[in-house]
Amino acid sequence: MRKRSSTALVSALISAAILAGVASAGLSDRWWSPGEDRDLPASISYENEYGSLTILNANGAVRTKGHPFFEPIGHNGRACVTCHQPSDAMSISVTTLRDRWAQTGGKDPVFAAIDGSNCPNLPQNERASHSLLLDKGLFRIFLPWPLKAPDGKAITPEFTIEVVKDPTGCNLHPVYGLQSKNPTISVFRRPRVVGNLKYVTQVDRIAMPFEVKSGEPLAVDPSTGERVSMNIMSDSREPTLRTQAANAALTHLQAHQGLTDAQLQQIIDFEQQLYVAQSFDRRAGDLTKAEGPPGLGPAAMLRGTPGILANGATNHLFGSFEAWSGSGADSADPGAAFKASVSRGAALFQTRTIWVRDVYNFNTLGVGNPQKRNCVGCHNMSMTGLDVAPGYMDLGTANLPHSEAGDDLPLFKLTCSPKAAPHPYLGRVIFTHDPGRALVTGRCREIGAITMQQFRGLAARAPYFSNGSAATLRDVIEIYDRRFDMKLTEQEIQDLTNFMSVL
Amino acid sequence: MIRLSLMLLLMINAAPASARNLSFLACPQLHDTSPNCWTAIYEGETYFIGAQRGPNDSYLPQMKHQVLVEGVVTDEPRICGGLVMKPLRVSVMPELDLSCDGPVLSGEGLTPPVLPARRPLASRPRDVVDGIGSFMRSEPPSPPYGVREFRIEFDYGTDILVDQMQKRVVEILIYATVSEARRISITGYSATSLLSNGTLLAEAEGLGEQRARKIGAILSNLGLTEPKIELAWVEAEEAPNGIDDAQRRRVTVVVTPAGE
Repeated sequence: MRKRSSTALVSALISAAILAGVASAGLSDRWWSPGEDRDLPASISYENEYGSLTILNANGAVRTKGHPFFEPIGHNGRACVTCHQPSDAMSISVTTLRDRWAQTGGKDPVFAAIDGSNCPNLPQNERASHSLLLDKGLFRIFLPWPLKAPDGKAITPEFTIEVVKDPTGCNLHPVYGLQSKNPTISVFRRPRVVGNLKYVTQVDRIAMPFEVKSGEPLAVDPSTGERVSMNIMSDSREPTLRTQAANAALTHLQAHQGLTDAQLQQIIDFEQQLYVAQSFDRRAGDLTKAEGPPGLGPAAMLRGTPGILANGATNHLFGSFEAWSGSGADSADPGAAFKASVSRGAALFQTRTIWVRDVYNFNTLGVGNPQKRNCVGCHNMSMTGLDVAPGYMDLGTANLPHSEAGDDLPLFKLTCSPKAAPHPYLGRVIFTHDPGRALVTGRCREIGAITMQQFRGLAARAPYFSNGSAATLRDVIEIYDRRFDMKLTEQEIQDLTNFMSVL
Repeated sequence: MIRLSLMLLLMINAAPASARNLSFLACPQLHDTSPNCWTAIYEGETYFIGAQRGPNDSYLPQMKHQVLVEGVVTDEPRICGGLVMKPLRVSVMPELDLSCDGPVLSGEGLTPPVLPARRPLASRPRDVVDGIGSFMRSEPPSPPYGVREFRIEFDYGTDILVDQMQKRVVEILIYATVSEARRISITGYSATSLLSNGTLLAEAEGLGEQRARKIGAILSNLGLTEPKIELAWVEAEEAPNGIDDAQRRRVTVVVTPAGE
């Protein structure tokens, strides 16, 4: 009862903010620098290309001074918030990064040499040294190779790695590369959304305690022994928010020493009460109206139940868009045509069948290759579009021949042992920009498998896919169209793009 | 044309299995019916080997791979133009075979299987969809507890647990827990299949050990650390007969409760 009242209050706050023209931060307020003494309000909205996004602090306003999420913990001056900006759905967009480069002459800690540049050895005052961050929003993720288990023991991988192309110079560098004293592989990935985390951390209750796809037990929380979702990171390497924060402090923030238990708990407590979603659209107006689709806006994320399996027909992925389905006939509403388009896009997402082909960890699950399925077949968790099961799959975003990541990313040739189970569709010699999950498990069949992301706040955080290979929402749709030969019409592409823009 | 580096392929002068038992390698075919159905052709005859949305006893075929089809031919009406086999085991061969990458074929004129009605998701408990999670919440076995053997079967050439076998492992976990098991004996087997054309298809050497170690590791990971776990393996020692070869790709787990 008390919770309901609290939720209603939050909803009222958001509505009031939107009616007031967005309780918005101006340009100068958009960027959250580490160490500032500010309040992150219970609800705050930020404009973006499509309208505005709202961040909801379910537990009320957060004072940033002294808060470990907002304080520069390491020696490079960064805080967690540096790469997880409220204006960008708690991720960070290329637009924001470019603005920040222009405003600071590249001196902001977000461009720290360690991972905010293509390689730390490059001249840090030159834009070209940060091209992957400024062009695609990609941070350098550097991982030991051969890989190590969480307990520090070496794991024998099933494959060897050769560097075919090294446009950043980091993988062949004598200090930072694969042949260095501390052999390291550098891949480049987008920061993921810190919000709506009750969905992201929801353990698959259907197959518990198994990770249904691999047939092995789910990973465990080292603190509690409980099974975890394996959906937090793009390679599922960190089991919990706690281990993620602890590791991020040491690597991305270059902290001299680990976070204390109290700091870690404060970070987790903050992250777990954050809800993120687009709340206003330039064409449709307020997305959170009671008479509109029920699944939009951050309050809906707060209200929602995680782990619900959507089936595309009766259990809608993001709630019903029926309220907007007839909007095309309502000439009095200037947003009517757009709303109708969104409604069609939602229906397409849930019901348009395609031949899903050659996707490791989908077609390999006994469903057949190919399988005729809709988008919800993989993006099946209600309210987020995450996979209810651990969602790492090889869609082809990282591996050739399907990857459209471009020539600015490193290209590796991985050769698997003849004794290893091969990648089911690429065999034992695989060219990839990012081995993904295989850098954690060492398994040949998992090369290029990347854990899918949630669909919320997309309008605020371009580009998309873990390697930033889709510059726009339309690009996302077109990549899928090409990958699966969907033969989408121009109207369908537009409807799907509009649908994704309001989430 | 076909690379089968994980297996030993031998030709011998073995007699074919019973006429009703059939075991063969083939490229799968997919038909655009509703539901989509899979067939395979062997010696000029078409066999039905699975349908999207099931029910299927095995995982479905995959393009770019041969399938090992093992089953017993029945007199039931054809499905999707194919003879029906019961029981039927379909294993996706691990190695790539790009000659098996055919187009989706027309389903015109074919009779697909009739699927059992599915309860709409919305009417089910919100967090349980007939999975292992619900299995774990079912009533545990009641005493008295005796020595009990469980059997975990595998597709050809792999140690991956399909979802039905994941449930079996949970069943073992529950039984060992409630019976306060003092010993768990795990024996892994690799096996050879006798194909209907007389070919012997042997799984990779060491796969029996790999399967045993994997089940042991999984049971330990799931919390069975108290009972003594004994591992053993048998590598392709049983003579294939073309009848029950699929059932020999297995791990047996014998649970000995306290007091036994």
